[in-house]
Amino acid sequence: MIDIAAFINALTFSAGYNTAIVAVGAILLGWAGGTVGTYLLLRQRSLVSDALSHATLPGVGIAFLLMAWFGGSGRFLPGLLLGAAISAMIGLAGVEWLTRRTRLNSDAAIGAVLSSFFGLGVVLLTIIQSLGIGRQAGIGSFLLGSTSGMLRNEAYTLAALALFVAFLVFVFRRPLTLVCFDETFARTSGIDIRRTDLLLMFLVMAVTVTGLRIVGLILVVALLIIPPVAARFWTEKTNTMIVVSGLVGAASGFIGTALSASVPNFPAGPVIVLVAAVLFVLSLLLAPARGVFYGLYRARAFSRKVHRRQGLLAILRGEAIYDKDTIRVLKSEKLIRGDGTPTRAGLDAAETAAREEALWTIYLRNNPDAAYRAARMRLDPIADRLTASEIAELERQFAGPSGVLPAQ
Amino acid sequence: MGDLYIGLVLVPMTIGALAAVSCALLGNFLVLRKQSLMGDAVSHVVLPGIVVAFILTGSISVGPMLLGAAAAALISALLIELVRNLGKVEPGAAMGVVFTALFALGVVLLEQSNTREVHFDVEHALYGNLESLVWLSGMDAGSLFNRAALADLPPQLGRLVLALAAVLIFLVVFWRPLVVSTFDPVFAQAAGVPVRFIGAALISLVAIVAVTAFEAVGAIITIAMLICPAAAARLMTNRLIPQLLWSVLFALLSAVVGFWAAGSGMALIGSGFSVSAAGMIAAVSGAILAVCAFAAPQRRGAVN
Amino acid sequence: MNVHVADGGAAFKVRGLSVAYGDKPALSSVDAVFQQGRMSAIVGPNGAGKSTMLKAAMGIIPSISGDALFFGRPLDEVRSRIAYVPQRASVDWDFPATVIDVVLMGLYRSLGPFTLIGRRQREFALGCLEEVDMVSLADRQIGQLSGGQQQRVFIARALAQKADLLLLDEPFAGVDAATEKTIVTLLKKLVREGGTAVAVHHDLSTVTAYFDDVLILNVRRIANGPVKKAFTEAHLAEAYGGRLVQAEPELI
Repeated sequence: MIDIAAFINALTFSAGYNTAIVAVGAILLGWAGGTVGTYLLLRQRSLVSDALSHATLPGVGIAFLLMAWFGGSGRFLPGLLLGAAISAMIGLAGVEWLTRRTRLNSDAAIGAVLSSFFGLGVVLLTIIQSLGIGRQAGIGSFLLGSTSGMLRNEAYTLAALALFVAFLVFVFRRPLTLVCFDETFARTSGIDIRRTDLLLMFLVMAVTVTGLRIVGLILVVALLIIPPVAARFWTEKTNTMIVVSGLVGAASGFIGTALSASVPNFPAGPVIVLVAAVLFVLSLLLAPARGVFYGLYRARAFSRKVHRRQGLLAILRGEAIYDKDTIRVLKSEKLIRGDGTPTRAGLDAAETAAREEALWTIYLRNNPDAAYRAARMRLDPIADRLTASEIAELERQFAGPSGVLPAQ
Repeated sequence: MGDLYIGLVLVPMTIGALAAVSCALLGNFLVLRKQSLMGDAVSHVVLPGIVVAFILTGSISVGPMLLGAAAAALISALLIELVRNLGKVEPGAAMGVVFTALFALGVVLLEQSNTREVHFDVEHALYGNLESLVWLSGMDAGSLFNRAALADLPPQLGRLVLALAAVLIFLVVFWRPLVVSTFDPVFAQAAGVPVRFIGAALISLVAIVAVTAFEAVGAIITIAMLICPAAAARLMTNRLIPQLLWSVLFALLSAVVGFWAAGSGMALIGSGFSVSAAGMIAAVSGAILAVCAFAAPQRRGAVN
Repeated sequence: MNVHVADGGAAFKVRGLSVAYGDKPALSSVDAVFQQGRMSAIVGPNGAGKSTMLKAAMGIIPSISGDALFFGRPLDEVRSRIAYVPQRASVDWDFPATVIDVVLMGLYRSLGPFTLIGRRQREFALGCLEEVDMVSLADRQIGQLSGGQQQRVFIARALAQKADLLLLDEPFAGVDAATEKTIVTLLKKLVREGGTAVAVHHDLSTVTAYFDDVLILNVRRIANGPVKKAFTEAHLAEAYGGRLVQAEPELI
């Protein structure tokens, strides 16, 4: 199915001039989308972009009709994109207005703007169709994007737009990062939060409009949402996240256009989104910082330690153990036998656990502020967590000045 | 108009109204649970469901398609929960990731399989074809009592009646737990309300209604009707049952006015355009919301 | 260090309760006992796991290990005897409902699925509102209530549950003085009549005046018992460390 030679050609920008231009545009667009999307995610406004992209449709329709009216070709791309931008801004204003002026929350406002603008857009599309001037060619591709029938002019326009957006994102990255990272600090250092938010929305609009023709208005939000969510699994730091997200976006654009160019019936827009989705799934599962596998491993390991410690303390107090998980953990470490009685090793471990519990209790009494951290530390062997001299000091206190154990 | 009025206007208009009302009723709870966009997400993933059903069965019969769509809708709801919980991603972003990825998958599968022969495309999926759901045997009022003529009604009508019935039954049977768990899920859980079950049932029903409505009238009406009437109704009153009634009224109004405007309305202003009724209905519902946002008595929330 | 209490008449008891968010521990093997017919406070610094303990005991969030017993039995057998009052801020008060609608939610367990709310139920709900001085606001939209009034509505809903044990999550957070007094008086009356109340509490200055028993918590149990014995300078220092200042209501 996949033509490897064609794929390599596409990856090395030698699959034809148009394809190369589109690929460069998609890479820039992916990077800009990933970066801008990170700011959106951090400001918790990811789905505003969904309203924005759907709201472009009436603008596209009206621009087409106007241009046809004045005798031009309705397909003139810059004109259509300008129309898209204007109606996207009206849609955005609608969302803002509904959330600010009425009791509706942003969810409902986004959904309402998205569906009614899209409905209006469809009405306009059907008018264009029945006029017989659209032949669906130019307009239909705004729904799902397409790169196959793209004219050279259009490819240039898009690549230039993508370059421009990427440039803007690069120039404004500092204030945006600051506002997302620490709003209060940003304000005290003289950044106008409202203006920065407006700038962010403008960039979102720019990415959306540029992406319309390549990815289509239904899927263009994916460029803004998927890369940052994927990036989040790799890091806790804002700056790193911005970089990783930009890379995920650029890689999706690059690999996606290359695949689309080398496999028949592989439309570029959806394929770019699918590549991003694959990168997301890989990140979700495998990333070390917040990935699922690693998280599960840590949660399991922690839960195991809790059961081990509780089981050992129960052994020491001579209590029966009922918790199935506790029994399983103790058995697997051969600390109890099949009938639930402790083994020699179990008794020894219980002694150690009791002593360490006592030492930790003293440690916490000395360092109350460490309670939260210590709840995790105290499940590990004390020697792994404290220095020998700290332990010696705890043991001295444990024995008390008279050498007698203090009452528990 | 005249003789063909029932068959050409009333039947498709009723189909639109049934879809609108079913969606609007459920939409009230989505709005109150701040899950409005679940309707949007669910409606998008209907496409991959239908395509997969086609690929698996090789037929375009309605049964497998409805099943496939419903399955896809449920899977997407599960995936959203999964991404949210496993990745600790905020709900909006989780939704965005899942529905765009699945929709993209649907489009690619559609392009890869030979569905072109079966006359199905993304645009049809998005805005359906309400105008074509006519009842040609419905010549006059007498046809309403003519068994042979009735058998000729578009099958979508029957399915949507069933969907609306399912919604009404759900609301009546689960009214109390649904309201309690919507208002105060923590209390509800402590009081033994099956909160998760109710949540899952609500989303499943949204999926079923979305799929049924979608097959008849396309995704746009579904999304618009799940959100706009309920949102507008929220601005009219501070009581739940009146809110539901307002949402039904707004849904009916959108369906009737939208359908009329797309057909007769266009003819009235002397234009020969044929305009998508689905798009018009969605646009009208947005206009109703806009009017409410300007003038409805309870448009400002008490708490802010 | 732990003040021992007999648990013969325990209304609520947790054993070895551990809860973690991922691998971040919120509660570490907590044992605690709350006696029947007494009013108990759960205190501790922010993030000490106070609300988490109640939620885990009620099965609202999962626990790693340990269990909770109510009147000596597991939750499911005695759920109807327990009323849980969540934090006021946990719900959206801009919900289309009136005060009495919310109180009637307290009847959830006692009404069949098709029982309609009639005059009898409304009278009963009004009686519950009477107890918190809210009858005159019965038909008011809940979005128009002040913080104190919202809390009173929640308490009235709990009363409607006719429970023997009240679990309250920060009932005094952000309420006015009059409301605080009304709620305390009401809870004391319930306790005198044989009921039990357990409240997550953040104002250390009122612990002695309001409560009989206390659980001092900071991820692990610091102390649990009668206020006189358990609520000591030493235990508080152990729980709060250098942060022995007025604690903010916690949000978890």
